[in-house]
Amino acid sequence: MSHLPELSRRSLLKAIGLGATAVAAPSLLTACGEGSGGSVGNAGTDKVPWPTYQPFAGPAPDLPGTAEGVQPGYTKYPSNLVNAVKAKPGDGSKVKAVAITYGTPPKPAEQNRLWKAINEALGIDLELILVPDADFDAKMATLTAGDDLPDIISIGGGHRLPREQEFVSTKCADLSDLLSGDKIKEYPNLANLPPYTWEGMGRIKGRIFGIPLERPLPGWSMFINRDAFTAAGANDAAWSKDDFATAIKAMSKNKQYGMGANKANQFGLRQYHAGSFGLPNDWRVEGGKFVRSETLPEFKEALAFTRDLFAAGGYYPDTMSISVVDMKTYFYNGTLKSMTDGLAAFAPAVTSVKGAYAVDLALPYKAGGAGGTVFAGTGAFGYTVLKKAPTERIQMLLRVLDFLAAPFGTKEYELTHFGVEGTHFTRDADGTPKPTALWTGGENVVNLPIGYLAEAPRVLYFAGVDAESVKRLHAWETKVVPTAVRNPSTGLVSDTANRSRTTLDKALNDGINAIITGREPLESWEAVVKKWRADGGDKMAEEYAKEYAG
Amino acid sequence: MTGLSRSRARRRPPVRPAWQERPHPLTSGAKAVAVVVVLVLVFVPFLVVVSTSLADPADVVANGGWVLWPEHPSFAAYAEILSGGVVGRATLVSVGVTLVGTACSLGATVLLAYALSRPGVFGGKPVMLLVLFTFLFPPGMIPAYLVVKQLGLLDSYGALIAPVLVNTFNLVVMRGFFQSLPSELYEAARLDGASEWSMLWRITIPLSRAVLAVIGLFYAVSYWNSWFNAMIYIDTPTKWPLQLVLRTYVLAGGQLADPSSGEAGLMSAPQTVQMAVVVLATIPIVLVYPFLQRYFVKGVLSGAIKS
Repeated sequence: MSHLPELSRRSLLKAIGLGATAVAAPSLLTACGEGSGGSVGNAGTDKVPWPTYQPFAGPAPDLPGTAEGVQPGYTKYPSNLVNAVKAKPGDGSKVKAVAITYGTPPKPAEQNRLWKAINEALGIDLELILVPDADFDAKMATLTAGDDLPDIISIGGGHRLPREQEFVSTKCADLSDLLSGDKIKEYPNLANLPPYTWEGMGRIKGRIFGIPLERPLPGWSMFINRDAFTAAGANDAAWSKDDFATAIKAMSKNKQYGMGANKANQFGLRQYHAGSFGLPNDWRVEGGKFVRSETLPEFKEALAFTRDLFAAGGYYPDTMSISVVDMKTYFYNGTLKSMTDGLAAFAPAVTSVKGAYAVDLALPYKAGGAGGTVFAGTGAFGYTVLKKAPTERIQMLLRVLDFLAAPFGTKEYELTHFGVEGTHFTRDADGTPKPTALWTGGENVVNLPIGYLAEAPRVLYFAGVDAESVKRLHAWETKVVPTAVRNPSTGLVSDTANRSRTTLDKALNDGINAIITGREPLESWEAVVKKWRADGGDKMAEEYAKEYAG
Repeated sequence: MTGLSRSRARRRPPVRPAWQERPHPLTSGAKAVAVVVVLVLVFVPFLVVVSTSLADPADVVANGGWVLWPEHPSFAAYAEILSGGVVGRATLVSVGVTLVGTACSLGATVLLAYALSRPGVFGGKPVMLLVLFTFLFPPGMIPAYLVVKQLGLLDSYGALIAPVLVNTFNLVVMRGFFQSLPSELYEAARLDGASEWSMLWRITIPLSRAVLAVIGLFYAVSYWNSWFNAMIYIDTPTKWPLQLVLRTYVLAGGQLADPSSGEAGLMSAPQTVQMAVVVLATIPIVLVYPFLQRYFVKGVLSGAIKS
């Protein structure tokens, strides 16, 4: 036992020293590489024109859409579907794509009739790398580090890759020569994507690198239990912040709460209250300068108002720890009388509530002169880029994406949204697709998320949602969209934002959560903003202003 | 005489030594209450998980996300998960990876730990330092990914085993255990002409069953629970292990995506399905633990305390 290879303290320290050097080396090397790619901004570049908008002349909607962004509404499924694509887009080759998923893994292609039908229609052998939303950052960091990229890469869902624009501009195909201006007419379904969604995606170095994944312009708002609000005497057609507070407090009793939110959306502060207080959507341009919402005195007022509501018991007490799923459950069962969420929450809410009460969206209250607005979203879920390849292959992949973007009212849309008739859906007497057990059991487009490769502009048509609910949503959009406040930084590039936005946002969000819950005094807000400015906020504003001007 | 001693034996509680007084009834009562409270604290969460998995989704929503007892019990949640063959296949993958991985890991750890436990072995100290180095400075995610890629293991089951083949902590525990075995045994075996191989096989392993059982369980549990490596290295969903598939059931639609993009409202999996997932993921390990628990204290302590 006396000759065992024991470790002396000195050996151990040596090992630690060596280790520290080895760990530090990669970051030192990275530091050397910084800046070598130059700026990816658009300022001073010769910007290519956006694709020409060519709207699809499909079935007439029951509730008209507007160019401003109100979605066309359909209270019944169109009867005369047309073909949006003339020929099979693919060349029979294997196409590998990576996409985000919010579902569970699909059955393999050979056993999956939906996948087979899509492959057959597209004329390709589609191989999907599915990345759960929660793991997107880690998976994409490795995938993009290892040079072996798939043909189609979908980026979105609120995730940002490290140095995303640098990655896209160096590793992905420049699509400008195939899509800008009238050239997009080769791909009529992509030409049907509205201008705001292209602008929401933005250019890089003045060039177009991707296909945007369109989403409705009003991104999110406050869903309400209309019956409960009416019973509490609330009239959101014209209400002040005091009316709003009175209604919320009246509903918050007997373990029921007027406000439903969660930590990740900062008590609905940005999603609802900020617009009601007339604040800018993140940024406002004043005399060529970018001013951040959080730095304005009105933001502190909105923060104080939200803090008072929380202190008065208007919010669910565990808002800081409640999961999104639980928040929805409590809204459905009537514990919460409202919830701030994305607009896509509408249809699941209506079907989950099962008529127990009317699900509606609240109009913003007015606090201050210019208040009473909602914020517009970016108009895009994200975008799809293509790995560099010969032009013929890029054109083939664009034809495939064009097929997937076929609009509502076409046979292609029906396949990519409802599956194969007789297998995945049957029709009601009025032609409405009714999902079969195979579809609800898992063979559907949530689990085979082809919609994140390319998708048609969304319309107000939801299977299983009654016409009255669709009309309510359309009426809300009609009232708020004309005055919806856009974020002027949408589509602009800031190197500082690209590098540190996550950290900077987190500092602000932590400050907001601490103040609303009463862990920090309201006065601490100035220090949070000051730190944010010093850590990169001011730099970000400068870069956006430069990009905006250029 | 025999009858008298028997009756005395019956009167004396066998668990208490002769010099100890009878406990006060209050003390006994307090102990009983404490035991019941602890049991309830452990049992109720289990009951909630199992009950919710068997409940009707509407009852679960009405009750705020969980039930203590299913009023309308059904196996619908389990049927939903197990239909379609995805979970069945993932279970096979997990069982395969766990069995093969545990066998490979145990084999590699035993061989390395034995070599490093033998006195005066050539290169023992540098190798030990090398092993400890990885313990102190584990590779980052991207360097590890690039190594696995260079080895051609991407999208293969090998990627789930090779990067975690030897766990340094387990190696150190096992090496310590091997070192605690009496050196006289090896000297005697050496005199009888035994080679290193036969000493390992005939002396070390038979005397190390406790530590092998514990380390084996550590490896098995870690292979069974592992999902991150599969997420990083495996692109084909049909090759995903159970935990990664079940994770997607728990996460399905529930994540708050960028609210401005409006994806947050996607339909989420009902709580019943999520709880059924928890039950399915837990059962195998719960079944294995009781059989190996008796080795636990002995196995871990034997590695820590040298005689």
